[in-house]
Amino acid sequence: MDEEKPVNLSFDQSDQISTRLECDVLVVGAGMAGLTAAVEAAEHGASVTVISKGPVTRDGAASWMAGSGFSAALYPPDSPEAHARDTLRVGQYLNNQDLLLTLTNELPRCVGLLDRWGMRYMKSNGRYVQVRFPGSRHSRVPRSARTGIMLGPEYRRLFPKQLRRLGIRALGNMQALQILKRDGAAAGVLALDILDGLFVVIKAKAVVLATGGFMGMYPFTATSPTLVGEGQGMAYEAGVQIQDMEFADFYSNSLVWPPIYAGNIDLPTMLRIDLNGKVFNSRGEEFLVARKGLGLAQPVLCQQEIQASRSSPHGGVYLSFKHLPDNLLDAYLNSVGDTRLMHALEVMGVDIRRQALEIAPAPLESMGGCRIDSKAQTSVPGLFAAGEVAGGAEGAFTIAGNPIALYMAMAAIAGREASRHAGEAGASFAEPPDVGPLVREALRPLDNGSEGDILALEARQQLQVVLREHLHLLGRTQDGLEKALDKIRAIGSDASRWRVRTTARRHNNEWLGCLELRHMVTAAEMVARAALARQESRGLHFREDYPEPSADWLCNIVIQRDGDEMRVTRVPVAFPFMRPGEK
Amino acid sequence: MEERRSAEAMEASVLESGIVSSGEGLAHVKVRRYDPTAGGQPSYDEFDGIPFADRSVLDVLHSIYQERDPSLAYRHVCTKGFCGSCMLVVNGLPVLACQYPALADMTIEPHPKFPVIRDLVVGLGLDVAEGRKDAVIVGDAAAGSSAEAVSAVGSRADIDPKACVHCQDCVAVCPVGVYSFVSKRVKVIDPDSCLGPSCNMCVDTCWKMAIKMVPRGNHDLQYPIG
Repeated sequence: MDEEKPVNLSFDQSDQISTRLECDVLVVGAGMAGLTAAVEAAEHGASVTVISKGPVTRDGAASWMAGSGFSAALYPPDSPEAHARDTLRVGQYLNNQDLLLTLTNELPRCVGLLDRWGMRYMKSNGRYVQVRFPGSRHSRVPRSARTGIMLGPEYRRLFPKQLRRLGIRALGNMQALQILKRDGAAAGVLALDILDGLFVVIKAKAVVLATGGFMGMYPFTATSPTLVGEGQGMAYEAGVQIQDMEFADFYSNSLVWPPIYAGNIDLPTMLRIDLNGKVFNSRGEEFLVARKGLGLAQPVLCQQEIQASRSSPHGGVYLSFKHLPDNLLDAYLNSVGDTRLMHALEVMGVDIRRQALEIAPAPLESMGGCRIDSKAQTSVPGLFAAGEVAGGAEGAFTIAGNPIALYMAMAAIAGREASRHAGEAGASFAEPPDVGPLVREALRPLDNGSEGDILALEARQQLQVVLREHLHLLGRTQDGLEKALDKIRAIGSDASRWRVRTTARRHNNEWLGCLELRHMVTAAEMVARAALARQESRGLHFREDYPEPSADWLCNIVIQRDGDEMRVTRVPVAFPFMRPGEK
Repeated sequence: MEERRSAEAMEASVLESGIVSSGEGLAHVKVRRYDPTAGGQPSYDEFDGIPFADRSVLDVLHSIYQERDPSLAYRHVCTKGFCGSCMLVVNGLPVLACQYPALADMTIEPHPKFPVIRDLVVGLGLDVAEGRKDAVIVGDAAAGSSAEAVSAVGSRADIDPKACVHCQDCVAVCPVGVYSFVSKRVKVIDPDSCLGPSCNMCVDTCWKMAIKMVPRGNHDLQYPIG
């Protein structure tokens, strides 16, 4: 057991801050977006530091779990404009069109970058071989020469070499706590070194947020549970405008059972695509086919079955392959080889010739985040955002193959612009404010004396219940969302009473969870407020009391901090390139 | 029993060695505790009555953390077998905790290859940090579970030298450094650290299908086996 040591709160700051660093560009987050931004900024001459909550390249970035999609318009008749038009149609015209066009124009260069960094593409006569993904009008995804449907490990393989080549300082196990500002502009970040429990102050001329999404907040998730919206939370606190928080992607093909593989999406996806699997409810109805005419999205249909007590025993629907002959299935299973997914089937004890998998929609990707312009600049000078933490590129919904591509393009732009911004800032660093109060605040749960009467662990579990019940696919009604908002605000208003029982400084899971919780509450409140404000259904934002989309709602819900209040405004979308309904 | 079949599929040899008791659905778990900064020696805490059927070792650690002892330090990031950061040792066998089925009777220790930060958390030394003193993570390598503790049963990865094209994909993907690229050849340099089929990342990533799981313990084995 750890020796219980009291924490001395009348501390000498130098005891608490282990490291002070300076760099031109600081990138927070080390997924595809973070590392691309870092490489681009360094290529443009900036000194770059990257910090990541997990070990670098062994972190929970959703990029490392990415599938094979990476859309880029490379050859006529396809074009960046056609790519943008497809994205707008699926995004239901809520996208920032200027930003989107900039990104689709940037994408062919991104494919070139990946190729140069060592990505292996299938080529024919010097041209990339491209495949068409659903929702796209052209073949737009360059095919990898690698087997399998997951390209995450391939992306991850590329970056260590680039970091070393450019002398980028990449620090893992750093939990960013707060964006430091001076004179209204970003001046650095206060972070916690998870391994030794001491604080790190990093001064920077420009900060790129690339912390990912917030889908890990939900108790059952298809993404990494470490992605809890800290970036959105930190940005909000820094005064950044946040948009589109009500929109997210939920993925139907996520295993719900057994718990060891809960949230796994690659096994059911692979089997369903390769073997044309059928989806049944507990009454044996192929409801996706039967209810196709309702115009509802697949995840919503699945969730409706689950909540109408037509679910499998563990709260899912059935994915079956029994309609296929045994010898076909045998031939398929033999062809797959000795992969982890086949091990998983064995471990689960599921024989797909006889038994169905249990799947349910799980949160996969969040559309909402920092409102950025076409230079990836947020509303705070010197603060850029790229990747899932930024909003506006995808609108209300997304096409397979688009997210990681758009995020990488965004990051390349953010890296360049951050580097330029740092260059213009001159040689001197803006001095960030005294971090003493922030450090004291972060330490408080460790020794919260008589004030601390709420376990942070339990508060977190309460928040997850609210998310599951009211901010999931279903349950979005005026009444439900108002209740959710009240509950979230109640959890947040108790923040000063949170405490943890573990006082160890090294890798204190309980304390780290408590520090995350502050930002989780902010992110959850933004989701609730945005969902409450949008009185229509669009994308996977399904309001049961307003089930239809409405032209009145061609606007973004923008949230910004106003003192201690969250100010929610409707900002009409501009259509400089394509109007709703155009071909 | 469900858990029995699961374990069987994963590591038949572990079962044969009699480590798994016939489960009643509740596990007995021993966890190695150690904080290098607190002084003292590593010790073991025991937890009884933890539900384990159909769950991973990581799920069991979550249970202990949430319901029994929140001071337990363990690392979990993606929880889906992608990141490779939750490696540890179960009954002497290095595994990826999120993908390895929990057993009825488990002793859980940190992976012996890396310095212990606290309890089950080890420093991976992945930081690319110039001029930062703690880039090489300060921990206590000596206090890690010793290499002799690694089981001789179970399986580990090996390369078929005839099929390998030395592309280094396995070197890049392996979370524990089983492979190395030496004099223009990819070699297995640290078979003991291998996390076996619970990780399987190298087997999945090898496009030449040159990597197979072979029995652990005998380093003279020549691929292919059987």
